[in-house]
Amino acid sequence: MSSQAELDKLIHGDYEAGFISAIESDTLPPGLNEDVVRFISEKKGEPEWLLEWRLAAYRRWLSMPVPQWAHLEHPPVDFNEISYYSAPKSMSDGPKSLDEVDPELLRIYEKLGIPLHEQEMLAGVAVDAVFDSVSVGTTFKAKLLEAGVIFCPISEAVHTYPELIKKYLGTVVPQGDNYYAALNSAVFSDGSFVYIPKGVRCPMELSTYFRINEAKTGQFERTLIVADEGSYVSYLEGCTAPMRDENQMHAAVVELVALPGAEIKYSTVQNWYPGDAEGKGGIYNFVTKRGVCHDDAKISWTQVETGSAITWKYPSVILRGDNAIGEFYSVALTRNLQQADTGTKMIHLGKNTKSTIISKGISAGRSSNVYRGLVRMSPRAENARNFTQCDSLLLGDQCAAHTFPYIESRNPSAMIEHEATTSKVSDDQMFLCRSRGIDPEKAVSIIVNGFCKEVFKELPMEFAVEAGKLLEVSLEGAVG
Amino acid sequence: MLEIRNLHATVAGEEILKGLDLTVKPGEVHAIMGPNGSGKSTLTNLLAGREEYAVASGEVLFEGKDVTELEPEERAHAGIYLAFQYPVEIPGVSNLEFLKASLEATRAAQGKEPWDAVTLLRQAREACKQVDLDPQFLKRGVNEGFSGGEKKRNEIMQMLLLEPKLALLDETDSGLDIDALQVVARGVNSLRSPDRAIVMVTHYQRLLDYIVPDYVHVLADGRILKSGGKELALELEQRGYGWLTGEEEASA
Amino acid sequence: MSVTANEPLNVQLKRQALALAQARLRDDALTPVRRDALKLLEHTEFPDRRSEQWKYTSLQPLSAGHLQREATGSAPLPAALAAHRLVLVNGRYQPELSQLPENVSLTRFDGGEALAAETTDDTLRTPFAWLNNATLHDGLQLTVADDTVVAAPIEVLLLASDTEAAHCHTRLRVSLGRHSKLTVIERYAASGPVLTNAVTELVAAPGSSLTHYRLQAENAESLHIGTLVIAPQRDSQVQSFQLMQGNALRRNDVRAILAESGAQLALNGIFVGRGTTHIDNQITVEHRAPHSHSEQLYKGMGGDSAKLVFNGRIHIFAGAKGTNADLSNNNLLLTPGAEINTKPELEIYNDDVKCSHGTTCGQLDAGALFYLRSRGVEAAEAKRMLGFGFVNELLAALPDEAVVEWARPWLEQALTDAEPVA
Repeated sequence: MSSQAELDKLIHGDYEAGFISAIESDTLPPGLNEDVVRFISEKKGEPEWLLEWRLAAYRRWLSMPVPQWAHLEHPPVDFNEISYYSAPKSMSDGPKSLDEVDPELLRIYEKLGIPLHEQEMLAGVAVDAVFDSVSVGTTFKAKLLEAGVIFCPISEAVHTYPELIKKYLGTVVPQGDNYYAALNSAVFSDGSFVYIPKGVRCPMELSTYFRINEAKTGQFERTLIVADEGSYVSYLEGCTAPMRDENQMHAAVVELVALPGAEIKYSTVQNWYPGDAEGKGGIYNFVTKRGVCHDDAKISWTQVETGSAITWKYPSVILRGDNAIGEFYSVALTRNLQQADTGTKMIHLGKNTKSTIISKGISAGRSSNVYRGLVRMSPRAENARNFTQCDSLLLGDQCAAHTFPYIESRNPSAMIEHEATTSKVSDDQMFLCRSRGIDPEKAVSIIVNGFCKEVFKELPMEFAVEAGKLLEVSLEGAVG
Repeated sequence: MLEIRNLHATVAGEEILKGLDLTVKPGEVHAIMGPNGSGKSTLTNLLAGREEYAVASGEVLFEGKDVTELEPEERAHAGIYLAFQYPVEIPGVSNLEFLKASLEATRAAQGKEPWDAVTLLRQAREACKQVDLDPQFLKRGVNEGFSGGEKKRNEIMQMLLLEPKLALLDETDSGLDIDALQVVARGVNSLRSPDRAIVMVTHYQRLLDYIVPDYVHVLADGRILKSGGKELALELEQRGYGWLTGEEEASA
Repeated sequence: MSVTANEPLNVQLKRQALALAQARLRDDALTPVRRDALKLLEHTEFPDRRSEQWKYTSLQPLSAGHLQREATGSAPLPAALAAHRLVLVNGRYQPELSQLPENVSLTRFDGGEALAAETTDDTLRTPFAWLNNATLHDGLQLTVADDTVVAAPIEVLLLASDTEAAHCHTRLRVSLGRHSKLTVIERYAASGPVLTNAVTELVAAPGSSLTHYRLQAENAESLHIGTLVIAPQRDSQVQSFQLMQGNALRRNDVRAILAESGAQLALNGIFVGRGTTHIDNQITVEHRAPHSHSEQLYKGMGGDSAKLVFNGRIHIFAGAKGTNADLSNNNLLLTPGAEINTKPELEIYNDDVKCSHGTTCGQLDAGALFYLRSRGVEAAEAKRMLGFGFVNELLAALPDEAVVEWARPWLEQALTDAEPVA
């Protein structure tokens, strides 16, 4: 089905026929055009307005240049080499529930300490698992609905909660926000939708696990979380992908809306396949994550980034309301030939808004690790505060660590403090550990974990432990 | 237990130890004294396996086996412990976490039962008590923001938990007031036993009032110039090192 | 040459720059330098706001046609800051007003001699610096021989004046021999809407020691685009201090290249913008060799509608182990309406280094302000005192009293109102 002939048929062939063959297969051949956008929308049975919204995004994307400002080097991505929709071959073969999910997938989740079987489910965590382009199941849906919490695939929410989707989709990250967000808006396949009603404290942690499986498939999920006035939710996101020689594209969009007095805590452990030691394969991760904080609301992003060949990601907070709080805690580890250009934006619009940025970058091997951030105090951000701490740890003499913080202030009463340091694991620290009987790899992992502690303590307990382990696994062989 | 024969060692290409001999038997306490730059710290760091210190020739036998090729952690597993002169800080890594890693690896290598979390905590608190260290220090980063005296007591606390066969104390007394010195000495003395040996390097005689050595050696210019009983230390205190090194009173 | 309607400013400026460079081409020993620069100009776009290095700075003030007229006005000579001085008026050397100590030699780049190889287009690498090369007609080089200590400071006074939009190009090179020592006070003054496009190069041979000042208190309607290149060689020490007042457009490009071991660099500066002025600092320190050290402290203050920009980049090359580099940039916004954009960057390709940077933005301490006022000091005076206190640590550390004496009243006035010191 993925032969050149079929591709040509879809792209250049008869419109109707293109659809028929595609529907039969359930996996689109590589290529991107308006028909592909229509196909995805039709496949999901979307209303007309959403199709138009997608098409507008697609047309916008066509006119946009590929952003070149990041400190990343990779061959240009051929967007016609990517398949934009992939689902299990037929519904009867595909996993209908989590019990039928690919054992490999389960094994990897278990290795991460996150069992997906309902009976082994972590107490108090509801899970939505997204497999390539579709959600394969959401747990604890009924229990959540009792509290009025909506947690379901976004493709389902389009039908069941159309007014909420229409009201909020694209309000934080507009279709034409940036190149990758425009692409996502055109072709997003699935993702999670969360709505927490007024005054409700979500009774359990919500989480989504993303998995890219099919070769040459891009994953373009879209997540929308709306926390209504005075509500609270903690959301966890995990990502994995199998090892493949070719690069795979991941361009997600996450939108958070924290209405007055609400709090959203969003944690990510990103472990997409980083490519092999020679830099072959791995995920290209171009993600737009942004939240809007209204009066007295709070959004906290915590991320542990160990995977992906390329990471381009700046989870941001627009502090629109007075007294809003934005936080960003990040650990980014790069090794081998991985490249990460990641950081955050804190846009202070309201009075007495506060933001905290703690970024820990660890570079090993021949990798490149960049912190890029923006702190902006608008003229009306009276008494706003920002504190930023950016630390880089270098392991070995062939890696690179960079810090590019943009700081813009237009209000005298706003206060900004930014500090950055660079260090390495010192010989003295290593010797102390080793003379106490700790082997060199363990010693490095202990020291690196200590370096990251300020960030790990922000993660929900289960994730914090796993993040530490993940780091340890990722550091294996990173030190000579 | 420890047998050093005609040891020559270099640091950054410069010869620091120039034919050192030393024999330490189980149960013994040795004090090594000497002027600055005589090679005292070189000796202890070299015994613990510090890479910058290269053995040019000679032998270092620990329990009959040559240890010069062993990694630092292998030496620790074998039972060699160095209490550092200047313990390094490891930000963010708590003392307890650090001890857990250290004890897990060492006890496993020595074939001892692993300690569960409760035992570890109990033992660690007990060790803290012995050296007058607030158990709160267990939660703080390794040596992070500790005063000089707290760092030294932290070193002894770790030693009490690891129960080494050979304890090397590198200027453990420097920077301690008399009260702290007594606390540290009490900790060290509690480890004295017939199957354990202690080698302490010091600049001052006063430590030896509290940890009474069986032997005192004078190290100067990379060699042991003179050995004797504890009375040698008193003599050094009165006469300085000059009468031994030939530079009369030069470096008292 | 016709002006196309809606021609973007950067295209206009390029056209004007090329015309200027063509007009200055003449046949002498400097021809190869001018030709090379012209070629580079032809292949370079002038920046617009999409250029990362010009993100916060618009060249709009140059649309008045500064590049199309050469400044010809005359200016009064301010009192000297040092016993010896060189004077340039509108980029032209004034021998009759200049005098040097015997142990310092002067070379003029006026076509008689070729430019020594130290200047390479690569180290300058901005269109304005190339324009400076392409129009080179009267540059100066101060040379101190090996093992020579020049006791008294030398002032280089660069005056620019015109009543209409006009330009002048200045070129200065200071070259220290091995184990020599020198203090240079580079001082700019202007009247009228003149653009000064200044290039200064400091070359410190092994073991030498240079103290350099760059005092830039030109009038508010003038424009200044400056390029400073500093090249401290093995075991040399360079300290450079900049004092800048905002004007219609001030651009301060500094590039320090520590290409040899043991080089030490201290870069400090104070920049104050009031009224509607603009100051854009782009500082790059490159550590290319092992065991070199750099320290930077820049303090900025902005009030009224002034816009301040500070971009400080520390670049550690792969081989530069044992490097120590530190950068601090502290800023005060004196009133609402002012703006500061700062970006301290680290670009690090070696693990065996100690690098850090810190930056702060804020206002005068309200508690201190209240304390002063409760002791009867008027608010405006209290603010002036505190603003002065903010930068005083830098002034107090300056080794040359004459500079400090000049700077204090200048700074006090800059903190008091928007009009510059004459």
